[in-house]
Amino acid sequence: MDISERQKGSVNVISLSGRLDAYSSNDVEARLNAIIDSSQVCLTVNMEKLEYISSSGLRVFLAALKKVRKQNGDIKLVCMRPPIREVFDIAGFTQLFSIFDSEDIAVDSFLP
Amino acid sequence: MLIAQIPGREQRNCSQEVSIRTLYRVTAEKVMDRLFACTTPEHRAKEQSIFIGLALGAFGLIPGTITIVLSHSTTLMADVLKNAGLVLATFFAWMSIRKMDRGDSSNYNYGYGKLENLSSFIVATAMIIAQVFIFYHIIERFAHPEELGEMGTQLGIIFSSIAVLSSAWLWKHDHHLAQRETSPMMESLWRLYRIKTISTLLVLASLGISLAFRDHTWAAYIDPIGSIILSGFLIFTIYSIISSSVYDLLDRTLEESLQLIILRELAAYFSDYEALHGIRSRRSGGNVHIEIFLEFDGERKMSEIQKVINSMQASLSSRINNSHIFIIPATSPVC
Repeated sequence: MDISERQKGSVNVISLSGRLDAYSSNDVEARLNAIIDSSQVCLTVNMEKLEYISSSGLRVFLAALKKVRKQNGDIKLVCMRPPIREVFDIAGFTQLFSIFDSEDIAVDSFLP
Repeated sequence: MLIAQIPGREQRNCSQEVSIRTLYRVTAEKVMDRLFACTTPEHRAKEQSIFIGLALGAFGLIPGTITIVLSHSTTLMADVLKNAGLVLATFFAWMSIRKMDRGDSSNYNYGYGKLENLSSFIVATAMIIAQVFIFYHIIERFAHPEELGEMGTQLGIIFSSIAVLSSAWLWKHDHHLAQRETSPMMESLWRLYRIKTISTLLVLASLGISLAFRDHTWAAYIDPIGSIILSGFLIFTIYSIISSSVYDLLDRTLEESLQLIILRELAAYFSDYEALHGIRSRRSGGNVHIEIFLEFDGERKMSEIQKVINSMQASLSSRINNSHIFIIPATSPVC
């Protein structure tokens, strides 16, 4: 599981690649918590290269969303592959997260 | 006392015959209750099924042993050894289920669910031991080929035919029970009886071919070849039992399909809690235990929080069979 971070204006863009399962979810959780704790609460997660997500991965996103929303922030998800989208659908997460096809549109959506 | 009240045969009238029938029925029920004194009809059915399997299996060992002595068949010996392991395992399963129904719940607050997993594990262990014996005799028979005894083989064919019928009946019966109630024990037992039916059919075929072609030299190798095929079935059964029971004994978390149901529920109640601090889950026998640690708004009344907890618990319980849901208020990560 590779996690990379970039700044696009006030938005933190996190790119995930590989498998987000029970083994890698702790790393992603720690990284997201570190970002949120540093008061960066506008996050865009690029999932273009994410191959698999387990319930542990979904749980990380749910907990992170709670944290950022508490601080008036949000998590926008970008470029989900169809199998990942399906898992989000099954878990009812597509109702909670804003999902975009383009990273730029997702970042722009944070602008007032 | 009841027996003393039965009038003499010569004095019987219609109503007395009815009361005697009632007495027999009551006595029979008492005997059954003593043998299968269980808390629920489902447990009673489970215990009765295991007991029938145990009795039939134990009884089947006697003619099985006689035919081994008379026929010198490795296939028959493998089958009888396998069945002996199965009888032992069924005995443990029967003891386990009796313990579960009569056990002292104050000493086992979380129930006896793991006892079911343990029983499945014992079944697998008994089958591994039987497998080692079978392998040894296969090697022995290939090294020293031997013609089967005619009378023993004929007897073996008769007993194997009866065994096929009884195994097939138990397979169907236990499968029906396992579908009605989630139970690793019943699940492993119906699978065992399925294997037993198929493997006994194999024994039957092996004995039949050996007998039909007994004048040919190659016929001496049919028996050990049959044992090898029988071993394949046994290894597959051992693997399937161990893979399901060991993980449950080690408190592995629930499978992904159930985890997604939990997450779907957390998504549905997203606005009712402040933070998700952890989810713990495990299986214990046929039961599913789920603990969800949630942070709630400190300004809310406990009665409001309890209402949310009750609603989530009810919703999750309706979606996951035999589940015990605990939603625990927490203020920091738990797991």
